[in-house]
Amino acid sequence: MKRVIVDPTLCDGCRKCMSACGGHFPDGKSRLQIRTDAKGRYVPLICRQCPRSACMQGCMSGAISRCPDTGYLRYDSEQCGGCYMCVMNCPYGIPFPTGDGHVARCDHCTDKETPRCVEVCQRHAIYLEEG
Amino acid sequence: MRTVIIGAGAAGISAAVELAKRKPWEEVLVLASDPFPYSRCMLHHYLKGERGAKELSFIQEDLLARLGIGFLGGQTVCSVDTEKKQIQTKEELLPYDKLVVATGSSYVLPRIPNLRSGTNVYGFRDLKDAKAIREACATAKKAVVIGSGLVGMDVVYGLLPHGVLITVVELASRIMPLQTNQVSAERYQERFEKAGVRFRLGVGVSDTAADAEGRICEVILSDGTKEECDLLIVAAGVRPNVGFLEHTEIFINRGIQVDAYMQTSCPDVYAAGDVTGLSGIWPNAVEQGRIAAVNLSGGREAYTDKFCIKNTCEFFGLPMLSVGSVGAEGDNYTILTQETPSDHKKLVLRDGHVVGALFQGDISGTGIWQYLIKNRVDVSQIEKSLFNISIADFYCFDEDVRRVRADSVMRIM
Repeated sequence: MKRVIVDPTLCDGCRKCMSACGGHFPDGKSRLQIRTDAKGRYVPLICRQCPRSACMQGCMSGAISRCPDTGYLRYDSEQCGGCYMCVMNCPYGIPFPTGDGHVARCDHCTDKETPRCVEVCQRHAIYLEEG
Repeated sequence: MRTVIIGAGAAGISAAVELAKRKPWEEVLVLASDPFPYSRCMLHHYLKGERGAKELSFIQEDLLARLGIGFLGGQTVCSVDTEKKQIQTKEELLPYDKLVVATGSSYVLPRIPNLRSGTNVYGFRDLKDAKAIREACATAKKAVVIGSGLVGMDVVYGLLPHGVLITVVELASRIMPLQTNQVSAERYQERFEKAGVRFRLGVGVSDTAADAEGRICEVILSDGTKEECDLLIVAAGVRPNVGFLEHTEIFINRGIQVDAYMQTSCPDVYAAGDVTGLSGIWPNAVEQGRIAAVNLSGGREAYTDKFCIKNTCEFFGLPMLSVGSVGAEGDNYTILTQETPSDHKKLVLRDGHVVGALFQGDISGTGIWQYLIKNRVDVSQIEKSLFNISIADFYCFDEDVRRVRADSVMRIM
């Protein structure tokens, strides 16, 4: 299974990844963020697709599940109960409420060969690796 | 080899799924009082009329069948014989080789006159409770809800579309006292009051009056005042479901005692979830169920992430996250707050690490607080407002490596 790997040392904060990600979703919200540390250095924060996923463990509605074919986490917005336990449980602080009772979470762009954030990153700060 | 799991909630299903994955050739049977697995955390959606019963399921419809997990719903377990390794249900005697008790808890009815005999008194724990309340709403005009904790407020929220006049009685001086502070409690209370809900805070129910048919028509509060009602819902805590284990050697304190591997005092009997009394929150029950399954099937993994003072909720489009000791105060604690018309944020620190986090409004990125609190991560060296931090602030950057990598990438391009 390919994973998105982040090398923050190469990130220059251009945020093309955020535009590309947001464009993929009807709500227009990017599921990844570019944050900075106290020294202003950029760090892309992207869903880790954790093998032992804390978001799925917290999900009391079954909205977050793992696709048996691809291995990636998927989100069923109709099943979602808007409890936000996934937001509470993710130690990386990645998922967030959309404002309409749902949660914004990464789906690894399973409709494409390569996730959009990886595609548009010209600095190779975000890339794919098997693992 | 047959493993029987009693209970189809978060812990029971988690144990069944883990076991079926680890030992697909062995028999796994889930015995449940529930007609099918459903999420009790979503019962207020059912009460509101937003979801039907089947839409409360937290697993895919074919999951149990796909994994070869047997399911017997609508069961009543009367007793367990741990020597003969048999479970006595109302209908039959079921032998087991290994047993997981994941029977959860039931609501408590405080010792207030008429509460136990009252025919219009309900708890809010099972689907049958939600169904009964929904039916009662067809004729009810005035409801009293005892307890304004998370369950109590979920019930109130679920009752709103039914046009019943609701009065909430709470002993503490604010609603959801364990999760909120005064500001965040008031922000929710305002919204509920705007929706027509009344609150009687700082009082308890000391007595009731019932009519000739055994229906409670009035509650008498500890300050002597009275509230009329034709529907009474009690949300005053829960107690682990252990009655059926009375005559066994399984050691029970308040809940079933388990060791670090979720094993009880009886060999081949494990317990997980609310029935252990270890925590009352879904992700911990899921983890306990998984660990019980690992250990009973020959693995060896301890249950170590026990942190359970964590909750989220949302009412009227206003989310809230409350983690750790949000109410701690005194000289040893540093309290930081940030407030806007839409957001209220509070952090409680002690000895350089965060012990409590309360965020109401924008809760994006707040998942980090559970990690920082339970691992007592030192945040004293962070050179910016703690309200603006993310995991980015915990990355290690080596400046020389950064420069060399950036140069080499630019050369390649």
